[in-house]
Amino acid sequence: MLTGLILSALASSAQRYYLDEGEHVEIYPKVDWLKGESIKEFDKEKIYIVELWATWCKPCIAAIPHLNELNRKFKDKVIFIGQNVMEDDKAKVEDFVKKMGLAMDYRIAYGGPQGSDFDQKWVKASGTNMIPRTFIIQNNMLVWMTHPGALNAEILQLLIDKKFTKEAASKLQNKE
Amino acid sequence: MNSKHFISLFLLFLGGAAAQSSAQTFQIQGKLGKEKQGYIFLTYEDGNNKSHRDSAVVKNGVFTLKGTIAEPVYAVLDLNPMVVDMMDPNQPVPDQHDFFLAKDNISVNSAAGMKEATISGGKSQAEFSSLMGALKSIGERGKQLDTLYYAYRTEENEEGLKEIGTEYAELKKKRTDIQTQFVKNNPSSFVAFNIWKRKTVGMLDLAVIEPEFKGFSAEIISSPSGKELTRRISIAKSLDAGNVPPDFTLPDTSGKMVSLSSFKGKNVLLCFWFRNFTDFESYSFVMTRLNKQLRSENFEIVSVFYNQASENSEGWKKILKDNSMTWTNLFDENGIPREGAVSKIAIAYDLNNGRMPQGILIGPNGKIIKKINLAADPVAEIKPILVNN
Repeated sequence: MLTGLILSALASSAQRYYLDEGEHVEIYPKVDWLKGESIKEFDKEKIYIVELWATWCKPCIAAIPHLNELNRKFKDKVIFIGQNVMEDDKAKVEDFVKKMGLAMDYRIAYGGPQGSDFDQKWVKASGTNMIPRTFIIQNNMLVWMTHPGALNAEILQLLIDKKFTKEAASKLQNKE
Repeated sequence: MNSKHFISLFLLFLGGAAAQSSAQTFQIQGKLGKEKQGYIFLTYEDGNNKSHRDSAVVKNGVFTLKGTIAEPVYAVLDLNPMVVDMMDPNQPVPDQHDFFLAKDNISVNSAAGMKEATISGGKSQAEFSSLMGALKSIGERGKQLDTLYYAYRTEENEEGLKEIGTEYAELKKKRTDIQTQFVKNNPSSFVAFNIWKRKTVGMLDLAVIEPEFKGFSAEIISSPSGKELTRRISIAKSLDAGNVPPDFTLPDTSGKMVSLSSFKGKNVLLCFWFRNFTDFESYSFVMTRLNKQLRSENFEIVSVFYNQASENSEGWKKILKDNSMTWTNLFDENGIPREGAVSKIAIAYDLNNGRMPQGILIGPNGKIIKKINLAADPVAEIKPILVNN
């Protein structure tokens, strides 16, 4: 109980960021890039899918093969990022990524624990308290917050064809 | 029976003295192992949510405790309690035992300490013992599962963990079923009322609570905790859709006094909140989203903040700034101490830490439209029911 109070007190000491669907995104928060090319800013012409995950998160691990397959098919047109969050042990994450090898063939970054740049500017800013969570960015805007299970080739094609709307995507998404 | 009733009615007339009458006295006689020396502590919460802690000397295992109690309550007897060190894995197990305390002569007997004691005396304790007996094997199996859980966790035994998960769920259901049956079969039991009352801790679901409450005995309904619930039910009803919520005037961040009624003509999301609850980050996000997407000439958020002991209005202003909360924010300095609300506003809206944050959507005519669940997707809930002028 007491630890919870202390942690939440620490969390409130920084400026509040707000990340929501419809909000403009430009800068990628400061993270440690473990695999693939690093990203400092979002390119207006590109499509990004940022997947929040952690080694302790079973549904996140379960979603990796699905994301890996989508990445395999669409890597020329969509940038997949496996963004690790809510983990203190960086070595554990590096170890996990190493073991996965080509089974996790997209860009991977380590965000850091509570209070880190990514945690403040993205996790807390979006009110994220549960993972896995998927963030789709196009045209320097967050267009959709969803989960990896909902993604499929049809939705990615919508993005590529510049026809993406939440309504259209919701109709096409995989039913759980 | 009749003369007892007459006496308590008479004392009720005098106003408030009923709780002190000798008819409400309890007496606990303890006989533990002869080598036991020290102090015995009795702790309980009375029907008005007030904590009590009485003590007595234990000499050669013998002790006596006397006192008054207005209704049967859940209580704990603790022999020579030590300072609890949460960090110490070798923390010795407290020598304590729970029971139901009522205006009875209660006997505590043990060849050793409190842990091993049998406690008897009175209807409530008999009911409590019987219920604990029915739940005993579930408790024991639960402890075994706990040990297995930690072992499987360490081994990373997924199969084993899955099986335990299933069994936990089954045990939990079994326990709930036994408790539900007990409550159903014992409408005049304070033990049953005590278990059932857990449903009333959060915001009251009147459709469920009212009929179930009426099923209890007249003695229970008229007890202090029964009266407390009746009071809370009437407040919940006063905050139903179509009613005008209680007006109040509180200072905003500039110190200006602002009344709730001054917002008549607009839709208002009245929001009661405090800082230190677990999912504060989600709450902060949701409120910002609500403000960004719905704020207009026709809709405004009005928040009322309740401080904890150490926060003053400067602490509150910092929280608002750190979280970019830029709507109308008001400060109720009276706060909500552990024992319950003292602020008239908090009492009128039946607030406590367990029932905040909460939102009430008020229409331009000044009447309540709906209570809003701030944890779910409030934008989707509020947008379609806003009244356009």
